[in-house]
Amino acid sequence: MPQEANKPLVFLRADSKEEFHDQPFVVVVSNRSDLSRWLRDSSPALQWIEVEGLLGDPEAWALAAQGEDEVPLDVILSAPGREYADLYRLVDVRSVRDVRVSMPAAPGFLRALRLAASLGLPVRLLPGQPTAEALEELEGALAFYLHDPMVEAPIEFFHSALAWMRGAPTGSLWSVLEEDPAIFQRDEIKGSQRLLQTYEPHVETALPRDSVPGYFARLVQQGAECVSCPWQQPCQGYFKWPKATYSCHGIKKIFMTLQTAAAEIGRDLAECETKPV
Amino acid sequence: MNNEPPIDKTPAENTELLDRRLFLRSLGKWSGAAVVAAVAGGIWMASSPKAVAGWINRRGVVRGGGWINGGGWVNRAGGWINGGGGGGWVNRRGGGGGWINRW
Repeated sequence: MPQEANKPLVFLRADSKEEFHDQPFVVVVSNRSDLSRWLRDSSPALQWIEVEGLLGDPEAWALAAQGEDEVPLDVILSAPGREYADLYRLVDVRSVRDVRVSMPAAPGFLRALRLAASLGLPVRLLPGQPTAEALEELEGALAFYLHDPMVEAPIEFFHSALAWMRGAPTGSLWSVLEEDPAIFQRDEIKGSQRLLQTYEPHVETALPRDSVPGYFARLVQQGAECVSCPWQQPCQGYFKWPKATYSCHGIKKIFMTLQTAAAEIGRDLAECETKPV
Repeated sequence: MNNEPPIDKTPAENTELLDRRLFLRSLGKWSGAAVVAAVAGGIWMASSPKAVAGWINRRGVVRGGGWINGGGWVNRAGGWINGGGGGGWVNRRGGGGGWINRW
């Protein structure tokens, strides 16, 4: 495999002085003028634009709805319970470019997730270490993802976790959710290595680069509940960061629901194969 | 975790995957997204670390052999749905085709 295959993806602030010609990068914008400038960027190294805090600005989305075959947008909802109604602004945008919505599992996120899915937008749901309240919403979100006929686009991390349980070669949640610092390098975006999955700003959430395997190995060595967890392979200690003492009881219920669904789908498919043509 | 590269599917295999998805959808109890995830057919590169290549490939930074060109949410050549001949939510501009590759 060529060396480039393992090149990380670098996240840059819109006003960054860095220049990348052959290094893939994502630019993070948080105001309309920067968005406008980067929407016109033709660098093939620019993979997508991460848009923070602009969902309430209709003019920004009017700009983004122009053009054709343009750079994708990852739209961040930091407070999905409040911002969800503005998701309608992305309807016109998605007709000209790829749009994904990313949000933390913060209180009220389910409304945003449902609306994004109804608009056909893929969702990256960042669970972090969910509270009891968030876990309840996660259970609702998972049922919605699994069974609602309206859901056609992926909702991560459910989507990859279900695929893993059906035998697909997914990565760990760290990579699925784009939080593995060895791959997704947010060095310039200070303090936000794991910005999206915590709403406790005082908690240090950044993992050192290349530290996911080391962190997971330490968890196992210290006898964390990961040792006997049936989902340690796809999880790799994701839910034990930043607090290693976090109880995964509620998360295991989520995984169990996914496992049960995967098994039921397996039985459905077996029935399909035994039916006469 | 399994980071094996995707296995290219023959047209017959792709048809079989599509049939399985259609059957599951016909049951009316699974979402379209869940069906796709459940019948990934061994092609699932969107989240593999090495699939960063897929992201890179989207905008042409790096192309060519050896790359895992099968996924990533911005990858024209493949992606989460990848039902045959490409797919994925960013794939509406090129490659891919059938109704199952869209939503």
